[in-house]
Amino acid sequence: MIGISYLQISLYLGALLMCIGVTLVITRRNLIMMLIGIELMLNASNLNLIAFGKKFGQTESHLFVLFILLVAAAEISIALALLIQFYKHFQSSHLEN
Amino acid sequence: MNLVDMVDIIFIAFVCLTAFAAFAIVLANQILQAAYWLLCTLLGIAGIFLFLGADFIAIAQVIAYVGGVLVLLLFGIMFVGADTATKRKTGRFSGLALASGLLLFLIWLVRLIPLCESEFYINTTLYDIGYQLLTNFLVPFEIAGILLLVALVSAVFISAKK
Repeated sequence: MIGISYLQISLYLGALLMCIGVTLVITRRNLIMMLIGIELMLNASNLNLIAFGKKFGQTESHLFVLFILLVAAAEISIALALLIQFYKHFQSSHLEN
Repeated sequence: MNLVDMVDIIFIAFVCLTAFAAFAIVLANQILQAAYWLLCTLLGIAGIFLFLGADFIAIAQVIAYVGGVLVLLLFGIMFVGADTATKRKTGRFSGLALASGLLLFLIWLVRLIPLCESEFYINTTLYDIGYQLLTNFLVPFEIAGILLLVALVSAVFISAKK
């Protein structure tokens, strides 16, 4: 036994992923990179939900994660439709130009 | 080296894959590279879900994220053009400062949680998820279906508009 705690390592990894997502959303001005950052943040929240669900021995958190997955899929489809319209209008995917 | 050591080592390998790929997303020069590193991140997270006893969620992660969201992202990248560099000079330090401050705060929060020992067991959650989905979570389940339908129709409507 190395003696590691799956819960703590998962929570640290979730914190790291959340910060990387925030960094991407703040520092990049490209729409697709911002979407990738949002996906990373959603994954960090999923990881935290699953980790705490294991700690307390519940499976309700799995259902919440399932709904988050579903909302993420809906969100990315709408965002890409908006991206296509944005690109048709401005011929670019950067927010500044 | 017994089996438990091997399981722990595989878990650490998944964690390292996820963290490395997430850093590589930030450091990537092109959007396409970032999308492929996002693929590695999502697969690593799916592996970690397995170790946390969420087998169904791991499979759903692979199907929905890697098979759906990432393919849509790649379609968007191909549509817009993969040549665009993503670096931006101004405002980077404020973003990094904010993110590292957030990271320190979150690490402080995590350290407040009492440590519990690691244990690895395979106990399928499939029956429980199916039962909950059709009893306690029936209304959110139906609303989620309606949400997906509306999102699909509106995505087609928005992208087909002149």
